Amino acid sequence: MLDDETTAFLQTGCALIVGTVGPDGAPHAGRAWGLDVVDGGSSPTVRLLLDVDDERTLDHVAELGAVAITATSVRTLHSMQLKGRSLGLADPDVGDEALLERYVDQFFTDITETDGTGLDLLATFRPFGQVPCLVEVHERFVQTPGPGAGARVR
Amino acid sequence: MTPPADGSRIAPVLTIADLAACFEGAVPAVIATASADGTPNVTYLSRVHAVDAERVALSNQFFSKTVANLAENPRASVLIIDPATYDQYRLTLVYERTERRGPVFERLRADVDMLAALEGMQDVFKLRAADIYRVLHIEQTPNARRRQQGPVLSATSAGPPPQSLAELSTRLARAADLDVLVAAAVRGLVDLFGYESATLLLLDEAGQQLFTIASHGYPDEGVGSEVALGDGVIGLAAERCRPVRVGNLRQLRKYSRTVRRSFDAQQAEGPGPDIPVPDLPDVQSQIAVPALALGQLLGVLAVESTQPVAFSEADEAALQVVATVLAGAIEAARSQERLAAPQPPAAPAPEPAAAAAPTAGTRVRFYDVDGSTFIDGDYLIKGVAGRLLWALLGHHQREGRVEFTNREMRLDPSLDLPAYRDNFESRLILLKRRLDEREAPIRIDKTSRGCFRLVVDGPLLLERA
Repeated sequence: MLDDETTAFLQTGCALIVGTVGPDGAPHAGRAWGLDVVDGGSSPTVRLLLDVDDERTLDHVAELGAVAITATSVRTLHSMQLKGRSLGLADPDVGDEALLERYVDQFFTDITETDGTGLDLLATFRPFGQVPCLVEVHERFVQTPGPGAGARVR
Repeated sequence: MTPPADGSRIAPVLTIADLAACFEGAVPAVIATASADGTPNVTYLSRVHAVDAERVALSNQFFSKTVANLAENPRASVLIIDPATYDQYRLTLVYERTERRGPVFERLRADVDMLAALEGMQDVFKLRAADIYRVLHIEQTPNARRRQQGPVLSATSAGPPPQSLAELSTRLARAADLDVLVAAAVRGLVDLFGYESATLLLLDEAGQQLFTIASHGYPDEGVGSEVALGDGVIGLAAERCRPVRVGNLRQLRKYSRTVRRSFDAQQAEGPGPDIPVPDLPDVQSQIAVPALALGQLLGVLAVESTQPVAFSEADEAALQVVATVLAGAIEAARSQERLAAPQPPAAPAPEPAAAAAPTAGTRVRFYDVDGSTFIDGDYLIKGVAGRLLWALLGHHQREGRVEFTNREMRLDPSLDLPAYRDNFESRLILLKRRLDEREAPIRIDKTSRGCFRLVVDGPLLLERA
């Protein structure tokens, strides 16, 4: 499901937004700050860096809830949505900090170069810290704005 | 806690009104919904609109999963960002109703129509409905700068001060003719209101196109450039006879291009051919307001900025006042010109040019089909203004004439003017300003009310195609 091209896309500084659901059925919107495809094969899994201050998202993934992740190219708005289930919060890894830095650098550079927003302003947007979680991906959908948005990728 | 010095303020309790800058769409919003079985969906929104103190409205043309989720579970979570501070806010919403007509629908439709107009997709990209949500809760998501400070709200433009509005109105009232009036209007918007650039466009005789009569603050004045009704921010304002204000042109263009590519890739029922849109690089914000007199559209006044969300409702209101004053003055000036009896020239006419056709000089080429006129190979003007210049040069070459009256030229059948509201004075001013802008060896000087002089430096070679 996550072929090489898709994996490359997901790992190159896309804007990452995350949807989770609480026990009461209420949806919750959040952001992620880095994504690494751990396994692209038959049961694809991604490692996602979440905002340390987004307590509800962290609670929802800790409870192994359903997760939606939309990745969007800042430059082209090419976009896809992954849906699956949390495998829980992961132990912090020495690579997480590097993943966050790499992600922020690519994401903010794309915003600056395409939208003109200054890096100093964007610097206030980054999270204080990151918490890794693992998500097993079950489905992938086209999310690029247009008539094909929402189509499942088989 | 010390208040910030940049005009922003610290808010103890957040309200919808506090987040006005977030609702301009400069940074895309995020919406998460969930189905009845607890499967989330998360996607981007081009813009969230404030409806009143308790509600917001959302539109999205490609919202199929979100719409399906809301039918099962009416709750939604939305992230919005203040473009000036990059502070992020989370709105907890519950779906209330859908509107397919009325003022909120019209506001959202203007956004969608703008997106469509940017890439020529007016026929296929239409708003179907506006979804209204009640806001249950607003929270700021922490970031490094605000974590201990609390929500700090960016200031929106307060608009020009009343004194500037009064001064500009006075200058417009003092303008003695149409040429001075249009120049005073665009210059005043820059000099007095502090806007980066301003443009005034007038409606053509057929009511289908707007043509630029004056601008200020641009590298090129662009006199004579045209915008079709319905095209871009300016064309939409004219078509609807309503102000259009955008603070996120860069985002809109990117989004619109992406949708266009998706249509093309799917070969869906296709949008029309590309429609050229006035394209000034790096423009982020724009307001266009219609200039109306006696209930009729005369033109559009537009200002631009390279800053996102540079304009507010206060700027829009001030521009509407200026456009209304301007429209009244234009209508009055046109009426005066039409009614004016020709007066003798203010100064002795220069020596008539030689009637014999020269063999060398400035080459003027005129195309019958649309009045396009070129001087030494460079495009000058087309339409009524082009035909007017050709008629004047014909008189000049055949009879050596240099003095003309508006009244006689208005009656010249070669101009193909409509019998009613012929716009002659506007076209004459357009031609005059265009010749001046190009520093052409041909000039038009006003000599008295309803009279003007054609000044030609050197011999002309007239060619008709």
